[in-house]
Amino acid sequence: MDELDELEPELRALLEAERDAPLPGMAAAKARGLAALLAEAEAPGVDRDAKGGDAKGGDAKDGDAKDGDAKGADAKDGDAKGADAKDGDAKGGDAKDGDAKDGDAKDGDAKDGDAKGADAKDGDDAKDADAKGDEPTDGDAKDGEASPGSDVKGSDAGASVGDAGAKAGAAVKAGVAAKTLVATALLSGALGGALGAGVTWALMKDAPAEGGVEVRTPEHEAPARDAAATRVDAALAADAGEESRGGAVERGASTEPRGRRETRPGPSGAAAPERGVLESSEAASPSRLARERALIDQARAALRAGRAHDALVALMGHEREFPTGAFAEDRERLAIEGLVRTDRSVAARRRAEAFLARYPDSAHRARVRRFLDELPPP
Amino acid sequence: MRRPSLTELYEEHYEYVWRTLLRLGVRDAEDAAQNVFLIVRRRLPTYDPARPARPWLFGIAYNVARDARRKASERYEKLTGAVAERPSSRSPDADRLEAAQLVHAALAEVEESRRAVFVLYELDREPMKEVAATLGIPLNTAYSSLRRARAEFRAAVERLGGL
Repeated sequence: MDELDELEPELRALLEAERDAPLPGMAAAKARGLAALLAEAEAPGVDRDAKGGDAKGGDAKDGDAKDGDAKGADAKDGDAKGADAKDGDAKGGDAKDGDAKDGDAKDGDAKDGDAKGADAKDGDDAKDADAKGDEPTDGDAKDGEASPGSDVKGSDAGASVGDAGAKAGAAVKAGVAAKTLVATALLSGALGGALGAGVTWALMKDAPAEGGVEVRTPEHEAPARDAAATRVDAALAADAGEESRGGAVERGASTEPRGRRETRPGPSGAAAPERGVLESSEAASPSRLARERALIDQARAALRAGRAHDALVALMGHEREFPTGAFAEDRERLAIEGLVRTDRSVAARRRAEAFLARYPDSAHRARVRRFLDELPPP
Repeated sequence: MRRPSLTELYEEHYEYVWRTLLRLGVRDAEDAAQNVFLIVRRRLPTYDPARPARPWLFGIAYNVARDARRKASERYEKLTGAVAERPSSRSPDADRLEAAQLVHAALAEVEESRRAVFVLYELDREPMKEVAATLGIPLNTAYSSLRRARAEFRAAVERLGGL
C-alpha cells in the first residue's frame, strides 16, 4: 500500500524544471512586502493593499531612477520644476544606479557642493528639511513635484549625500534658489535606499535586511518602528524632503506619519542590506549602461521573435541588476508585454497600472493602456 | 531551539511561499504572500521551532490560497497561447519558466486536497509522513491521494500538450 512508483521521467523532469523556475516579480514583491509587514499595525488579517505597493516597489525604484535621468536632464536645462519633481527620484536612481545620464545628479552634489554640501554639514538643516518636508506637500501628490515653496534647506546631513545631493545639484542647476531646494518625491517604499553616512549606498534590491539603518526620531515624534520599516522611512527621510510622490503615497510604507529624523549608519556598520551595496562612485559607468542596454535589447528581440519567456528572463535579469537603471521604464514596458503574452494577466495588469501611475509622461503610455484594456477584467 | 523571527522567516522562505502559492493556484501571489506572512506574524508564538518551517508555512499558504481562490471565483490563470510557444534557442530559464506555467496549469486540474499532497510530496519532496502530518490526514489517505493526484496531473499535462 505504501509503495510508490517513481514518477515517470518526463513528469519528473517537468517538476524539476518548475522547482528551479524563476519567479517573475517575486524579488521586487519581497522587497516591498517586508517593510509593509513590519510597519503595519497589528491589524488582524487585514491585508494591505498589495496593489498599490505593488508594481511600485520594483518600479518605484525604477521609476525613480529613471525619472532621475530624464529629469536630470531637465534639471540642467534650468527647468526648475522638472528638476525638482524629479530629483527626488533622481537621486534615488542616480546614486544608486549610476546611470550615466544622471551624472548630473551626482555631479550635482559633487560639484555643486552647493546648497547641499553646505547644509549637509549642519545637522540642523537636515532636520529642518525633514520637518519641513512633511508639510508643504504641495498637494501634488502624484507628480512628486516638490513645491517650490517648501524650503528644504538641508538635506540630511551627510547621510543623504546621494539623494539630497542629486537634488540639490539639479535644483541648483535648474536655477532654483539654493536655499529653497525643493525636495521631492521620495523613493519608493520598496527601496529602502539607506545610506551610510554618505559613503555607501545600500541598495535594497531584493529584501530589506534588518538593521540597515537606524533611524533616530528626535523628540520622539515618531515612535521607533521596526528596523526594516523604518529603513524605508530612512530612505525617504534621506532626501531632505517632501514625499509627495503619488507612488509613494499609495505605498503603504509612506503613508505613516513621519517625524523628523535623520539617518545614520546602523550600529556596527552592519547596516548594509544584504545585497546590492554599491559604492556610489561606481555609478554611471558606460559599461553599466551598455550592459543595461544589452539586456533590454535582448528582451526586445526575444519579444519580437515570439519568445516571451526569454524576454521575461532577460528583464528579470535587468531588474535584479539595475532595479533603478536608466532603462527601467523600457524594462517595465517590455515586461508588461511579456506578461501579457505569457498569460500572466494579473501580474500584467498590476504592472501596467503601476507603469501608468509612475510614468505619466511616458511615450509608451498609449501602448501600455492598450494592453491594460485588452486584459481580462481583474 | 530558538524561535525564528518574522523577518528571518520572511527572508528565508518568501520565495518558497510565493512558489507554493503559485502551485496552489493563486493568481496574485504578492497579495497572497503578504497575507501568509501576516498570519505568520500572528501565529509565530505558536510555532514550534523544532519543526521544519516549510510544512508549517505550507499549511498557512494552503488556507490563504483557498480563500483567495474562493474570492477570485476564477481559479487560475488560464493557459492559452503561452504553452504553444516553441521557439528555438531559448534560455534554460525561459524553458523553466514555461515548464512552471504548464505545471501550474496542470495542478489546477487536480482536486484541491490531493493537489496539496502532490505539491508537498512531489515538489517540496517532503517525506510522506510529514505530508500526512502537515495536512492532518492519515498516512494511508495521503498515499492514496498522491496516486490519484498523479493520475490527474498526468492527464492534465497531456491535455495541455506537455507530454
